[in-house]
Amino acid sequence: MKNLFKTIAILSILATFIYAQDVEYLFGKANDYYQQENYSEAIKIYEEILTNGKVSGTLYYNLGNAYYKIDEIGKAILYYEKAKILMPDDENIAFNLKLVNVKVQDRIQVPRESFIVKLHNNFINLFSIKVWSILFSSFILFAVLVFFISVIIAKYNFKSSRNIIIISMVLALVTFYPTWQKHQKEELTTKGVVLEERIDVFAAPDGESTTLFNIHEGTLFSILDTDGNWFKIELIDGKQGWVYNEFCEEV
Amino acid sequence: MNIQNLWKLLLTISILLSLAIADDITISASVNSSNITLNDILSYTVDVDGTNKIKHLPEPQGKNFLVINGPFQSSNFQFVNGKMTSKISYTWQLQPKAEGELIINGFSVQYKKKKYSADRVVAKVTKGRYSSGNQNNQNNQNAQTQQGKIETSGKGRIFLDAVPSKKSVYLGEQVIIEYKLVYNMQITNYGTEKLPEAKGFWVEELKEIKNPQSSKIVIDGEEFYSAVIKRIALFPTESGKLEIDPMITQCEVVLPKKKRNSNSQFDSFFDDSFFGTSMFDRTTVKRVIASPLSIDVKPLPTFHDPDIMPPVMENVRVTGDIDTMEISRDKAITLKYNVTGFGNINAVDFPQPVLPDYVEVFPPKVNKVNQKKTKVRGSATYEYVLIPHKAGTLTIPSIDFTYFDPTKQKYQTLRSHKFDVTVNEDKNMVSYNSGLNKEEIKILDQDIRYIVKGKVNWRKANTRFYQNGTFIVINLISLLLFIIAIAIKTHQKTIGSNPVLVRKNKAMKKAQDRLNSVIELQTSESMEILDSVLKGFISDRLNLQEAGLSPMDIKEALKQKNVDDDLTKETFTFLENMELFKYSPGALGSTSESDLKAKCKDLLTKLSKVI
Repeated sequence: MKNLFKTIAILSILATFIYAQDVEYLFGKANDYYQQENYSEAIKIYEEILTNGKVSGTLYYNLGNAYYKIDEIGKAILYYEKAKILMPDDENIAFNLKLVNVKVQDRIQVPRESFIVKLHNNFINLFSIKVWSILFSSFILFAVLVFFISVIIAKYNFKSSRNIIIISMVLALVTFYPTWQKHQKEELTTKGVVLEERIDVFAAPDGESTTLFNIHEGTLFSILDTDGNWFKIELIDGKQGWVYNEFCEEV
Repeated sequence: MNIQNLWKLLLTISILLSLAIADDITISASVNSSNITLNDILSYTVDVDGTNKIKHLPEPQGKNFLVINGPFQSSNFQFVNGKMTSKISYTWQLQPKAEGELIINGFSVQYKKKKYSADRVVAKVTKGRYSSGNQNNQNNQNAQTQQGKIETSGKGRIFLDAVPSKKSVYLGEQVIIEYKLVYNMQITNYGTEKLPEAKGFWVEELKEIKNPQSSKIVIDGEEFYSAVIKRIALFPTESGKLEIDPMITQCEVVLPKKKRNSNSQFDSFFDDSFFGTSMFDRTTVKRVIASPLSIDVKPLPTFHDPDIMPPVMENVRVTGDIDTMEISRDKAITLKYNVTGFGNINAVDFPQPVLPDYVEVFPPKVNKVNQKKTKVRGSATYEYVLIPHKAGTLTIPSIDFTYFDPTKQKYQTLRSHKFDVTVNEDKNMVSYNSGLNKEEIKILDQDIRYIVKGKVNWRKANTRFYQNGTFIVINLISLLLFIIAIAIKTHQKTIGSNPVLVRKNKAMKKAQDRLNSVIELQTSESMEILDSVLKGFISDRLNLQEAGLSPMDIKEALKQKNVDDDLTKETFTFLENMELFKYSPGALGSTSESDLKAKCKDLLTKLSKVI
């Protein structure tokens, strides 16, 4: 019985190793194609890796580049956005995304915010969600530590330690708020990108309903809801409507 | 004002009036048409201006006519510019006798010892549409004439005449065919049995004639009535000589027993057939067939652009209309074009305006209506909705509409208005701003950064903050510490709640404190403290009453706790010695206080390990 487990374990490790090797090989091959400016072939192989279930920010980034080279702005933005999720602080992704966005026809301006909203947003955007979450857990750890010490050292005056604990708990709450907000906004909201040159945004999930406005290839939107083949979308300026999901893709 | 004055005034007025009336009069003679046919009846009118006192004028004399009716009088009395005028007209109806000139001689009349004369009037008489020759040839019911099939019924006659507006037309030009019923008998009712078939034409029935107006004509010296009962519009769709089949109507006619009253009107039959005919009149239904027609259709002259087929129209008007000349960006403008004219509007295809790329143009709403009164008159409206996505001046160019005018026999072009619409930037609009900011313009001509090669971190996406390793580790540590702290706290709480345990725990501390308080040597007080240190410690640990505790009691208690015999004995000895020293410090001898203290400390340490 023990031997059987051992063999299975060894085999599976071996399999993943070979598999990883395979992916590595494919990735290299695709990069070579890219270098030879054979972008469509490169895209084919990059996407083959994706269908094998392997993801990486770099892969998405390279794929985005390849799509940019064949002038598919929508797909380029789609993969850059996917890459950004995996590598939020990558400079290359940020640069290329900015460059491609210049080519997007819709130049949606965020409506002017009130002072309070601006302050609130600035505070939330002070750090990335990663930093905020670690700050939050650190304050919790500090509070627990103080409590622990006060318990261990019976002589220690509990009154002063209690104040320290309260302060650090308040700080933990303060850091938890932006963490939660960012989690809701960035992690739970699915985004989508328009892939067709121009699509209509309808008032209802029905092609017969009123067309509210148009959006063009590469425009990023949040998906609020789905209904059959329809996405309820929201643009960054707050405009909402329904689009047919064949013309766009989730990030 | 007295009566005399009133009389004076009246007299003045009457003199003035008589002066006005006494003005010269004029006499003029005229006819309603100087060109007539043999079928027509000519109206000859003599107007006498200046008086209505002339009651009798001589009957018209002259050449080539018969007076068939008259005179009809109409007089007229009015003030013009404060001057009173009176006028009287006398009208005769004359029937031409032959082709050529019809001459009505001039004449003169006497009025107030003055002679007034009227000039002679001449009218030209041409051959009638319905000539006597044809009438004469017709001798039975099926005889065909050029004008139509004449049904006779006793003395009365009836036939249907098809009159085209033009015999020769261009391809697509409108031809109106009027069907005239010509009769000299009483008709009580009529209806269309069969509409004409016209191959090579597109046929439009014109507005139904509900109340046909009849007019008098003369055929072969005999009075007839003529009334248009139907009109159709034809649009030739092919060129060449095209035939139009005859229309067939059915008329219910009264068989006359006696000569018809020539004054009876056509209308009366349609309005009221019951009163128009007596109960004893016999009626019969006659089938009246119109003559067949042929029309020459000419092809249109070639147009310079073979891809375009301009429509054939007359009296064309083109208008352009815009709902606003100033608008905000991304707002809709309604642009309307309208084409009207005689002809088939369905053939009209108005060109689309040529607009810049940034203007969104929706497919036009087209409304084409053909009005069918006495002629087909069409109106086509094209309504465009435009949305400019850029601020500035939007020029909507004029549109050229070309059509063929058959009366002018050439192609005509009409031009619509040109519009310059001011498109304003709307600050409130949020989308579709085509402007780029400086930073974006700077990067516009740059290329993307190159792909990343080499080692790749293949992994599952950590899309949630709580999946981050550092976050998990820190929180686990916090949790662990918290659990431990709580455990300790709970433990301490359990201890604190039991007085025996508290006493036991605090025994050592109490004993040590007491021991340290022994400062002054060789006093009975310090002896007592040293004694109580050990006694107190043991009593605390074993939960005994400290007061009145004898060394013997302690020995027993320690034995019960299974304490080692040597230690018990040692403790007993020490305590007994202390009893002794307490009361007689002299018995202390060479034993120093510090020795006792050390001994006490030693015993405490030893005892703390066993009890």
